[in-house]
Amino acid sequence: MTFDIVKNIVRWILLMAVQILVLNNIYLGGVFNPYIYVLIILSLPIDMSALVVLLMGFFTGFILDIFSHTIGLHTMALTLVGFLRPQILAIVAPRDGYEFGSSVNVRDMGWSRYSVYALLLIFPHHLMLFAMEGFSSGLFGLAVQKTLLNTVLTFVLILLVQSFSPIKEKG
Amino acid sequence: MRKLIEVLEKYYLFFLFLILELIGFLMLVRYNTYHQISYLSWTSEITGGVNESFSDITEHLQLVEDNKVLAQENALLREQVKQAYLSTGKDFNPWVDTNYQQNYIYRTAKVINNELSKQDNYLMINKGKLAGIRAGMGVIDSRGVVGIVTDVSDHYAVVMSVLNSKFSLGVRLKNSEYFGMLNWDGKSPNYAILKDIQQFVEVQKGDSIETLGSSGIFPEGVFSGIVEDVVPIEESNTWKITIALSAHIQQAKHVYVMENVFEEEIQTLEDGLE
Repeated sequence: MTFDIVKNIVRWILLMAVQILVLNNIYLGGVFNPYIYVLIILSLPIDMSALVVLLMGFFTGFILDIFSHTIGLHTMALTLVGFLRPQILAIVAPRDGYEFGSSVNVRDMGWSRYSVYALLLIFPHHLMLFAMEGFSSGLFGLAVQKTLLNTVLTFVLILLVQSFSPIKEKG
Repeated sequence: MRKLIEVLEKYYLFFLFLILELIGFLMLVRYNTYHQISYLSWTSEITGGVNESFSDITEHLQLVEDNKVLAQENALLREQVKQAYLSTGKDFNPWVDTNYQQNYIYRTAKVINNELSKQDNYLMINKGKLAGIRAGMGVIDSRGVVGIVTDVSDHYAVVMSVLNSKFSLGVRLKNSEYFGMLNWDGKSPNYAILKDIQQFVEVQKGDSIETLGSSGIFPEGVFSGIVEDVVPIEESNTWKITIALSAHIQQAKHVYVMENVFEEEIQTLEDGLE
């Protein structure tokens, strides 16, 4: 249990650092901006209450906003993820429910199930994010294009992180 | 009433979600309009600290290029100092000339965080209120215009980059003096668009663009880019001119923040007009 909390805090700090210090600062052809920090909400424990997940989404998004000077933008996008996650988790659940102690990752859920789960959450996040960014700057055509491209990009990055994840499950 | 409470109990998560989204939206609208970014200055102190320590680690990777740029600028400045001029007559001495008064004060600063991936990009620099930086000051590097200071905390300042949909810069064609507003179209960080030049003006690829200096934020005649492409806009009888920006925003490291000594005077005059 304590290990779980520590693991989530470490993941939170690592992913935020990668997002703020690396991904936000590099230029990838103008339309590619992956937002890997979504994985923070995706990887929260299965049994975490929906209320806590929603609030986590709100505050994590807000903190990222402060660092990237986009107050409100990531807050809206990640709050949406926090709200949708319990629903999506229920949709992709195995017929007899999740096994006790299993986590939300490729290893425990399997590639196909996890892919559906991740895409169903990354897409609304990116759509909200780029639509709102377009809303504040008036560029909607670019927003749609960016949403589709970056959903794929973020998804691939998340799968990569998952396949290299060093944290072993306790037995 | 009981019904209402039941509904609230059942859907409280959904209502909370709507409330949080509304808060997010209000923040987005409130804090992201031009020159209203004077928000939450205290957060700049925290994020500035984090960015600066990371920047300290990574800046060494760029030292060779930085040195080259600074050396080039030094050479250019040395050409302008007194020793580089030969006195050919005793009637006129440009260096003790009471006709000129200093207009801009330059302060050096270091970029500690530089965004590129968004529609509205900002930079963060490591000087703030205590160093005399104020909102509204122009920021340039040795190659051209970088942005405008929008928010200052004690030790850091947030700069709206040229690569921001809300940024617009008054520029003119160097050879013909026709002017217009330069805006970023949100695509490549190397190019910006100039739309106000009428089609009777001859514009060629390779023409230089410099600042107009009308707002008093930037001095007149700061080199800002080169014409890359000229396409006519049919409906409006103007050119759509793509400008290759001279300042490489993604590499901006050592910048100058410019204070206009006469800013107050200009401001008073402008206020009087309204």
